[in-house]
Amino acid sequence: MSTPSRVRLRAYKVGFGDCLLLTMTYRSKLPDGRTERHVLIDCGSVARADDGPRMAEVAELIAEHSGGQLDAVVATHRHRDHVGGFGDARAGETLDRLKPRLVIRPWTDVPESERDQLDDDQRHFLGILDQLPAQAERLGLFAFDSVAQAKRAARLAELGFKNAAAIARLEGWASDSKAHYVTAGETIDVEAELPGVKIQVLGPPTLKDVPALTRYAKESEEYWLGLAGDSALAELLQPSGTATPARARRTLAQPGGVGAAEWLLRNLDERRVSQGLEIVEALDDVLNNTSVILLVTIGSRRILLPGDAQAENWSRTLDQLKTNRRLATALGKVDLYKVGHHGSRNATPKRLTAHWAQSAHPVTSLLTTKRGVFEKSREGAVPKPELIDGLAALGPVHNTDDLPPDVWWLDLEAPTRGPANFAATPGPPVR
Amino acid sequence: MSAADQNLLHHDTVAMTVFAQDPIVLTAGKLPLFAQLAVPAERLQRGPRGHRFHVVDVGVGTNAAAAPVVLNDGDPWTYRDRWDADHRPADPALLVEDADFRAQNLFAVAAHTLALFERHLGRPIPWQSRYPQLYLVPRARIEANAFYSREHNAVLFGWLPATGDQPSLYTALSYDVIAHEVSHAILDGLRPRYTEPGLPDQLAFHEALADIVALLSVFSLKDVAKRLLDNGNGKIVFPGDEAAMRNPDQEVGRRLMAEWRAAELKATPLTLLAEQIGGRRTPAVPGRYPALRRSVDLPASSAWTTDPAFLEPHRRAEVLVAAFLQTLVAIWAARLDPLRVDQDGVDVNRVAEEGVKSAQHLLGMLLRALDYLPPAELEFADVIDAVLTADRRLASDDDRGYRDKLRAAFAAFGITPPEHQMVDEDGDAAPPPAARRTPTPYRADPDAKTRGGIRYEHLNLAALRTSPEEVYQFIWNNAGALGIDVRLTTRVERVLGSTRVGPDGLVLNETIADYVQILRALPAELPPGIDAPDGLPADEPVELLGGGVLVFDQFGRFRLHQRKPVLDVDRQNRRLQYLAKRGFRDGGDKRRFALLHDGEDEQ
Repeated sequence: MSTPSRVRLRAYKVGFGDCLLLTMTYRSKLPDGRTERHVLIDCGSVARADDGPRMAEVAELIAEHSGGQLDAVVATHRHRDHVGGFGDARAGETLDRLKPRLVIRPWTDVPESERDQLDDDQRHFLGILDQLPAQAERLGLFAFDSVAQAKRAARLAELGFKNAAAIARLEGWASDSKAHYVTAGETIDVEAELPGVKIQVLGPPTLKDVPALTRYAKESEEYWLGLAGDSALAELLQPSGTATPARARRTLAQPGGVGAAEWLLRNLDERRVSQGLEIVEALDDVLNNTSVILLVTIGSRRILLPGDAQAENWSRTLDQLKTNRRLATALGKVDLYKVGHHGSRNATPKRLTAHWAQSAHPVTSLLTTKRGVFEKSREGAVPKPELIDGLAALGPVHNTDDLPPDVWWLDLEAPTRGPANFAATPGPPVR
Repeated sequence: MSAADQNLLHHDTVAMTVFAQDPIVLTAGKLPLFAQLAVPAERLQRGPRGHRFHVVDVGVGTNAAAAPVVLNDGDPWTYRDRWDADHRPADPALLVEDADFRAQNLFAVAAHTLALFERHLGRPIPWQSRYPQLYLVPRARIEANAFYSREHNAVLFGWLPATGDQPSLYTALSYDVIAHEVSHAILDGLRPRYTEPGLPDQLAFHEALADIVALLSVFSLKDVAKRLLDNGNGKIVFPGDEAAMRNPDQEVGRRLMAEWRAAELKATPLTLLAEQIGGRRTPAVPGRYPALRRSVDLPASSAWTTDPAFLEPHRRAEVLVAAFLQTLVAIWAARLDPLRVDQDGVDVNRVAEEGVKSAQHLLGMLLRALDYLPPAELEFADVIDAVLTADRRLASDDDRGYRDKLRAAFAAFGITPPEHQMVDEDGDAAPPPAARRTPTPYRADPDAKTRGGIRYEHLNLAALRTSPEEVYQFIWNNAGALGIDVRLTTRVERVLGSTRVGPDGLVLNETIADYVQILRALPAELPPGIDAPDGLPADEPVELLGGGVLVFDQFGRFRLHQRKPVLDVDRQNRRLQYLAKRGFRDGGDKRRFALLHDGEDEQ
């Protein structure tokens, strides 16, 4: 049996988004004559790095770095910053030439034609997911309290816009070769495509395992989802033609709009908590929670790739830490962590970092982000400084946003055996 | 004046119709459970608006406004209940969607809750804002949550419009939610410093008090307990009774019967919080009401003290709520002992009556103790200490053993009153023996020696009842005897009169004075023994808090001192460590007290 001797995770400087190429190197030639295997994990961006490549250029790099063949493609979830590149006409054509042999996507992305295998609850949930893009486009039009909020909401909404071209391309690859629509708990058999590599799926859970996936954190969100499905949400949150602050004052702050309720009306209006933004964030999280979480084991190296999974997606796996010894051990020995959701709140569960701190195994972290894309909200900045500090206590933290000018990728490479950990090497300057 | 009109000048209270729990809680006959709530009589303006509450029905952001409701026929000194048994529509769904009824429901439960606090403390309670009215907004936001917002001087109630097969949900129709949120507002008026960054018990007490008031005050509503317990024929059956009575050892049988009955009583909707919201959040279990929280089932142990999940205020609060509710069912079951058991069960009227008495008594014990809680740096142990002390002062004998039961319930959760923290001039609790005093970083103030115990010389006893300066002079003159180091910044924040009536009618007039001590120092200059945690910026001062309550009797004599010394090295270290772990993020004026909280895994 062939086993890889080295493993490398190459993160392209795509700005705010993920585009990662995982390469395994083998000592001897594999049956097809190659000595490498390549997995592309996501390819998308919503805000290009100022000195970074265009999507078409990224695709050309991937073609070059993979020697013209992709053995697997992972599309963690449907957001633009993860799959946008697949929908880009020029990048897509380049990637088509790499003929991916296997496509890995979450169970929530099962194509229309195969949905009859799902149960009613699951189909209902997917029906809601289908409504999200249209809703996202409408949410961007909401009235917001401040320019910063409106900008953030527009950015978030944009992530969820329909990505028909990207989805069509992924489904095309899948029908030409092989596809896995995965759920937490399974181990994908990739021996044919990636000899000596083990891929465990830690997320997304099924609805039965974690009903909270649709209804997590607050009851209201399921409502918003339901309402989003009915397209009834916008009317409830937008001031209608007749409901103006002046009219509300006349009705409630008698006499003449200057009565005692005027103070409250003014204060609610000035310092209101924008529900529009909260709802946009909540709907954004619903899709994030469909992210595939993969634990990839190559020899004694372990790489954790959680996409943008949020706490609810993680919950099934983390709930098992106390009872499932093997899972706890495997997760405790992660060497390289692609930081979830570009370093935002709620994507790297406390229980996970606590587990690492306890196991005292050094963890190298990789952030794929661009600062300043998401304005500070009530929840804080992306990436979140407290989280980065916490990860720095566990091991080195690398950020694609810190690459020198005109350097378009960052490599994290390690032998598959022995104590040496992942070493970071920036790519050469392109100009 | 029609038959349903009630004169607001000739009565102390008027009866207003409200949902006794929320629209989904039904009687055995499958009818929604209404109550005629006793609301203090006052002149009512459109809104409704009284002298303490103002209902403003506006949607935040949408400006959707419902016209203020008028609850009379033109004379503001009359009140007409448009929704009493003779007038309300037969279909409860019509009532749920009626904005006027929602406004009355909200106003009535809020006013009833405030009256409950004021009756037990014997004085009006101000809002934190110092404005006379607190705003109540029944349809503020679209969410199944509600919160008290100090910055808006308002409680904002969420709602969810009907969609698909789900009916609409208004948190302003839930007795538990209204009582819970208004209790937050009341406590914030009484103890504004409980929102300062502090140990986790402080915010948890906010949640616990709100839950306990919501749960126990329902009992006092006429007939509600009875109708919830009634199986349809005026009886309640305790399945364990028969086996208990067959027990050959009569003593054992009695004990078992009380235990098994207590377990049964635990399962009634009376001990469950916010059923309708709970039902939306958790899948239904047949035969059981859903609930947002069922703290009564929390097993009694001290395991919570080391479980990080219990650092979240709502979760932590469940410890106190469980201690109170478990005491309640124990007292209740004990009071049922003399009741006759017929073949078809026990008379539900009598069972309910005993439940009402037990709940009222226990709630009274808690509310009467609020003035004895330290004004800052509250910990759970202070709660049980204050409750026992306040109850002892009002009811010296405790023939039904309520105090012992409560003390035991708290002890089962690992919470015991601190010894010698409350110094009672009567000698009930002497000052701590020197050997057991908490170590202090500085030697006693050599200038503060007091000769011959407490001195009253130079004091104006009339001024002592109202003036913070006069109380400060008392502290100044007796700093040594009281153990208050007045070299540190010390301020008397409030002096109040309180008139409380004990269970047997004993009236206790007291003057309650709160003082606070504040110490600010750079991390490097903290008092010896108090260590700044890592990660604290060296150039930002740390604020340490302490304080206490001084109680004087109607003759101006000093009676009691509740102390949380600012220089308690152990407590201050625990607080700084805890705040450091939380990233110093607690507190702030904009803190909102919501019914629910976000996920526990957030970084």
